[in-house]
Amino acid sequence: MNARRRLVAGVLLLALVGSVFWLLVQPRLRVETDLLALLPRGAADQRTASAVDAFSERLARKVIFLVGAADPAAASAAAQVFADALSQSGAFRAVRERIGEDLQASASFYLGHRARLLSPSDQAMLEAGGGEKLYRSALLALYTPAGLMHPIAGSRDPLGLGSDYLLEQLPATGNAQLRGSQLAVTEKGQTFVLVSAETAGSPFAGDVQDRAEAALTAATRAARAAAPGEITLLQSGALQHATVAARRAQNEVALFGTIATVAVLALMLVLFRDWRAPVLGLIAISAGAAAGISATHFVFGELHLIALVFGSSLIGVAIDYSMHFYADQFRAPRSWVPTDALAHVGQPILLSIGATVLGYMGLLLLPFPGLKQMALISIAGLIVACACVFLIFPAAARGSGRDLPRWCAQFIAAIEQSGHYLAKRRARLIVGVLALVFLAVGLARVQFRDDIRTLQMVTPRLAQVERRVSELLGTLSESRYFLVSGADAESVLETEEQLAQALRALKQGGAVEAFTAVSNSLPSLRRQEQIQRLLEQKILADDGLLPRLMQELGFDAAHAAREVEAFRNSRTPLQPDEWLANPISTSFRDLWLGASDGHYATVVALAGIHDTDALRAVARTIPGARFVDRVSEISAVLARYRVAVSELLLLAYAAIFGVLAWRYGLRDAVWLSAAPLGATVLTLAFAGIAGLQVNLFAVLGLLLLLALGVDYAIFLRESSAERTTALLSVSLSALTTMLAFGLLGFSSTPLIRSIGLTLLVGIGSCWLITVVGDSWRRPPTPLSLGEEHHG
Amino acid sequence: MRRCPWLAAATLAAGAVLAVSRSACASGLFDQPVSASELLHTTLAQPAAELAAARVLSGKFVQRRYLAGLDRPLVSQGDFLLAREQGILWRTTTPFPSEFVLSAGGMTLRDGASTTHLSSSERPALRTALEVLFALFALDVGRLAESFELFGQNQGDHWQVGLRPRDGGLARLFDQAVISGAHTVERIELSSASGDRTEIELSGIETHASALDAGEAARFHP
Repeated sequence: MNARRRLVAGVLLLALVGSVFWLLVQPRLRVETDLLALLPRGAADQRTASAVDAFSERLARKVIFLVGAADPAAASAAAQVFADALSQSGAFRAVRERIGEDLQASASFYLGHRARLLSPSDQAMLEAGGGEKLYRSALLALYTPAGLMHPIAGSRDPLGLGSDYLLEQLPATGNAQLRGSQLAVTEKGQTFVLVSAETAGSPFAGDVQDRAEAALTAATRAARAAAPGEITLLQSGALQHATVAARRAQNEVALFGTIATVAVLALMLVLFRDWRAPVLGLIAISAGAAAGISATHFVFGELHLIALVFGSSLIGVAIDYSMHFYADQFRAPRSWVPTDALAHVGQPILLSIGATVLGYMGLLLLPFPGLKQMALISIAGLIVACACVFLIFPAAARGSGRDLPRWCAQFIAAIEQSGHYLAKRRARLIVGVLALVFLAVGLARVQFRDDIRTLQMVTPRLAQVERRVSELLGTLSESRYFLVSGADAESVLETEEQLAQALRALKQGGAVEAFTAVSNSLPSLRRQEQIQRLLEQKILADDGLLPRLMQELGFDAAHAAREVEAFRNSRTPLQPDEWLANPISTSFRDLWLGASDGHYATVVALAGIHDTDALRAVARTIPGARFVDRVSEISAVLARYRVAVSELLLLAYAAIFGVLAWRYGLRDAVWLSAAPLGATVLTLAFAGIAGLQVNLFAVLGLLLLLALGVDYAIFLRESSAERTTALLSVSLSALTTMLAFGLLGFSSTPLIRSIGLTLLVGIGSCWLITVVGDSWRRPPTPLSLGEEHHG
Repeated sequence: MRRCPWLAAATLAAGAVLAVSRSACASGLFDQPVSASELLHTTLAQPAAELAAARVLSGKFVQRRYLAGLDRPLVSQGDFLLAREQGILWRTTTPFPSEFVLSAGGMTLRDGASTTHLSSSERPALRTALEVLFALFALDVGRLAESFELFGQNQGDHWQVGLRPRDGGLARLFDQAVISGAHTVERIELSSASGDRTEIELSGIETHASALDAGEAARFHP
């Protein structure tokens, strides 16, 4: 294919990539920012996986606001206006600033089923023969102001059983107290009213964040306008962290991308002294970026922000092919024509991209959605950037006709000389001993840490707000919970009751402060029957507590008999559907997961966990109940994959060594693979000495190090005839890669930082070992800095 | 509990008279909405100021609870102690001895046989109930205005304040209330939509400027 035809093909490729990106991808691109979306599922139990996912999503959507003011009435009014504004905005759902407000509905719900409902503590008291105590507290309630606190009137519920049933199912509220139907906390003269809401959609989706932010701004303004005095607003939940993380990561993409691009293009301009070099380089980078993003969009339907940040570092790798191409001119500055370049550097470039793409393919094999995206964006981006070099450069590039800049030639010479200096026997000894000491000290101190929490970005300001909210509310709901599943609603509720009984004992023992279970409000049919028998025997029978109390209070016998009969007849079995349709279930609806994949599930929410092991132990004794601790499950997954990727790394080394041995012979294969292997060990030792924790993402960085680093040695080996240009190419390549990944070392997202630092140190040491090793291996040759030295 | 027929008849008669007078009075009262500051410009201002200055309030009470369907009220008597730092101590002597304590920490009920304690974290409505009951007895119209719509009426030295909760829900103590008195709070009537009603008559009210001593304060602990 001649240069002109190649150029036509190249322009067509650019037009295709460009139009696909601008017309099809860019308008529809959905950017995902949830760190957990990067990770594989826990997969502890496939049947409950979807229920756990559903509830985790719900938990992530939850946002808690505290609207505070010095005047309680102002706080209350502001909270109401705030909640109304949020719920009208459409950006939030299930906005609640009131609980239990529909007392009428709850009371008549209870009265309609009262022969089958009982609070767990009243049930326990009656079963234990504590009827007399119940009787006495009913009298106390009637003869003291205590009865005022009963939500159902004494004449409708003389024994207070209904009031206990309604009050005992209130969710755990910690320090918050009901003021009217609002939950509020008062501290240091400030009253904060609690408003809870859910984001309409995942809090990690960019559009959801934007709408939520607009709605929050408007609602805050409305709240401030509605009440006199200063209004404080505190927020808790994933939304604010996700929003900040997303904004930061977006800024990082823009910043790192710009810095890397400008630096790399400036370097090309300075080195190759022709305006076409940076322009063509920019075309190759842009086409690669557009192709990478488009491919990811089409395959995954979304683009993870972390993959995008990672992709931005590929600028440093993608530019290599342009650099290799242009650097070829220094082989023969005056006579170089671009069409010749591929004959000299074409094969090393193909080998290099082959090794890199193979490395990324390794990531595609792992079941990590996020890593697959990183791999795909890299593979597509690099291939297209490389194709640009092969198709467009031969026709469009121009040599400057000048030698390598003097400073650059001196730099290369200095590298070469230090290589030779280090190649002397004594120097080898010293370097060897120093390296061994460094390795021994560093490797001994390597720490592995897989806690997902250390990988999430923490903003001190938000962390402080979060702490303030949990201080104010006291016991805050936990991210750990029990998942109860079963074949039908009845068996789920029965299992839940078994669990609730165990939890009540644990609560007494102090292992957990509070729990919220659906079955407190909706008993299983089996328990409803038990309750009905118990009530019949202890409450409604002729000598039962109700006729006795009514007689003692002075009700006439006929009235009492009618009342007992009405109670007895309110025995329609309570079914989940009726319960769900009544306001009484409002605060439980989140916990009722219903049916999915033919399985029913509910969540038992916990507050104030003090003994995790005791809770795990309970779950083990009750079939159908599972203690879900996503943080430690995810951390365990990270640890498992860190080990798996480490094994994959060894396997990759073995495979690459095999290929090298087959092509270059055993002796050279050892030399060629020594650089990335040595760099890997040095990087680990560096992490040990610098106190950086080694996690899955650092090990992935090492895998990339192998993919990127092995081709330095190959490149030097393959282009042995043009040693100076090869050395220049390799050095430029290492420099741009270190620049791009080094920038990632400044990322605010720890996992990006982890990969960035690993590659910064890894590539740096890999380059050093390659260059020095190459000098050790071959006798000193005169440097060829231009065609006059060259044959 | 023993039943006394003559007492029942007497209280029934008294209750009926009171009920009639209450409804006549109340219909007028609840036509006259007022604000807390307007109330404090009436004859109520002086007792309100005295009660506000007191750190401890004590006196005797008679409570009559009228249950729908029951033709005579459930009557109890005793004495009470209201302390700003501690809460409400309600000691009933007849028909049977008992103690009802409401403090920021929760509610304690004692009778001869046992003690029951419910903490505020278990029952999130208790602290608000304490604030509202305290404000009713101490005539703290500012606090009452936060949770209730206020109504007012005067006749000579006598005043009446009507209350309707701004917000129903589990935490509400009553659907309508009337506080009345002259030089101090004399009567509190609380009624619920179901027809149940509680009347509390206060007498012998004493205000104390000093806080409770340790021994008295200990009675508020569960």
